[in-house]
Amino acid sequence: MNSIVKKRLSPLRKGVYVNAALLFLLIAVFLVGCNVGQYRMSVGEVISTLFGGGTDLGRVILFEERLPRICLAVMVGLGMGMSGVVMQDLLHNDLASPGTLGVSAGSGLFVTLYVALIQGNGSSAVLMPILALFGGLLSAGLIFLFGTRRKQRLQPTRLIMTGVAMSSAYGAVSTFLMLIIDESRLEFLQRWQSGELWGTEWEYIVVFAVWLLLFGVMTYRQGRVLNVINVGYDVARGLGVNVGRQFLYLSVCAVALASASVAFGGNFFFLGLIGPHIARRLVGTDARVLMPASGIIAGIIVMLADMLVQGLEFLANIPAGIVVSVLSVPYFLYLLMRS
Amino acid sequence: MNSIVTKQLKVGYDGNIVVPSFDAEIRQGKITSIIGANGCGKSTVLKAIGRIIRSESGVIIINDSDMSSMKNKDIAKQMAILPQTPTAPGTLTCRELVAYGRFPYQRGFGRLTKEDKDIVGWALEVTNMGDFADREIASLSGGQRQRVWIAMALAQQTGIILLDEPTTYLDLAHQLEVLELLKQLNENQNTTIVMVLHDLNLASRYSHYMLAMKDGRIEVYGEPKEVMTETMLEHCFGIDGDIVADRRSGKPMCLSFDLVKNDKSD
Repeated sequence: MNSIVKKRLSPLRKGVYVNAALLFLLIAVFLVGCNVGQYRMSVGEVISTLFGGGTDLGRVILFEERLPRICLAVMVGLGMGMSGVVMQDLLHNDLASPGTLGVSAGSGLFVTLYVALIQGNGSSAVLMPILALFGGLLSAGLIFLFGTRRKQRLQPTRLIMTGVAMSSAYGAVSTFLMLIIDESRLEFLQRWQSGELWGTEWEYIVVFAVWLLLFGVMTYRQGRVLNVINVGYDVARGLGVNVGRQFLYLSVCAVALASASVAFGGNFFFLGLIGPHIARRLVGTDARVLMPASGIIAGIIVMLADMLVQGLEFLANIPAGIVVSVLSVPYFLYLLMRS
Repeated sequence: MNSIVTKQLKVGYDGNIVVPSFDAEIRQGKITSIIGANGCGKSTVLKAIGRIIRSESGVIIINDSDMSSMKNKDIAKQMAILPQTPTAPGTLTCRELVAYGRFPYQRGFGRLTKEDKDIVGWALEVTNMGDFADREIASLSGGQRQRVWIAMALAQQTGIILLDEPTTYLDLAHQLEVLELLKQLNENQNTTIVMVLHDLNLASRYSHYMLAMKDGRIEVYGEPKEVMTETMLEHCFGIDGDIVADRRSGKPMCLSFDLVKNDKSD
């Protein structure tokens, strides 16, 4: 062997380091985020309060106000970011997102139905995500039904086109419902649609966390399969992957991850597009490092957006989703122009 | 000794049967090329054997076991298939792509073992892609790209490799390069190679056996000198061609040809 051969960092190892750095950044933003708001707390104070010290007021503000919000922000990002990677890899399309298979419109419709017909403020920790998941899966299922033909092979373009058509149909029904409901319900829905982090009760957070952990692990375990599918369905089949079954399994996981984020956080689908896009530039294509990186990046973006909403007077009461868009659209366009 | 045996294999798309009943024995350790006009079912048969498409009925036996009773991963340890013009995400490096060939052997998270890494390194060397190992696929030329894909199939460490038109979109020199590589593999590793080839003369030059198809059926199957005949050219391709011996290889080749006169238009 040639001894001058340069020892190159493998893409996987590099990805692990980048993820570690991102995680560090996430924690830093998290701590700073605990600091933002009317009541000032230093990072040291935040940390001591987290571990049981600090003042009573500090504890109330941190544990009742800030922590749940920030946890929710991170989790919404993680769910959307991971789900986006799965969708893009499965469909071989960098423009795919959890919204592509009609998840956004489908879960949106069910949440709208629930709010419009049953409960005005949508306050059911268990029912909301389950409805959103059901709506998302139902919509994804219908898209599969119309977008594939029996005994025919998977065609991503066809699925995406069907998704576009179905989404507009769902959207129309949702809009119709919103026209006929009363003011308070309408306001909740409008804020939900523009991406307000609303599910900030601890009971929601716990349900969300368990959900995210469950489907996160289920998805992440298939990272290697996702890599191979991303190279091509035929190549994956040749390598011994049951593409049909894995496609179904991974879509359900992606829909589940996105639906929970939709249910608790609102409409943050843009994260499912931009998270993977930025992450891909940092860690490459390997899903095993891309999924966490994309989730963490999306989490950081939501936290930053929420910090702006909390910290800047003129942004008070503006849903974080709007800030996410304002923040990331220019950056996304810049990335596209450069590539 | 046969690597692949098919019995009454029936394949089609969308209920249209393309290949009604395909019975063939593919010899172990030989290069076999499947030839035929567009739409004759040659790719379809290859894909069905490589289980990229499901066959309607019939039996496929590889290395003496019925494929339907084998696990996907176990099949992938015995037979690799390279689809026609596969595309990989551009940012993937050659080494990463070749390492995917180890997929059937991995479990869980899939860290590469020392053995995996050695095999990947070997596959890159054999295909002459060692110097490009850490380059991104997008930066490669067409010929290099094809060699990386072949390296991936090699990393799968199978006795059988199926290839669907491995020379498509390559210029003459690179076509030869790919076929020379396959020939070397066949000679050095005793790999059974089955490929669909468009170019009859290259098929004749590099194959031990040729299988000519017409309308989903086998027209003639044998050594190049038995298959490369004027009758076959007329039946399978609708051309009136001259078969001569290649000055270099001595194998039969089709020198010049015309469309068969009075051909029913179809």
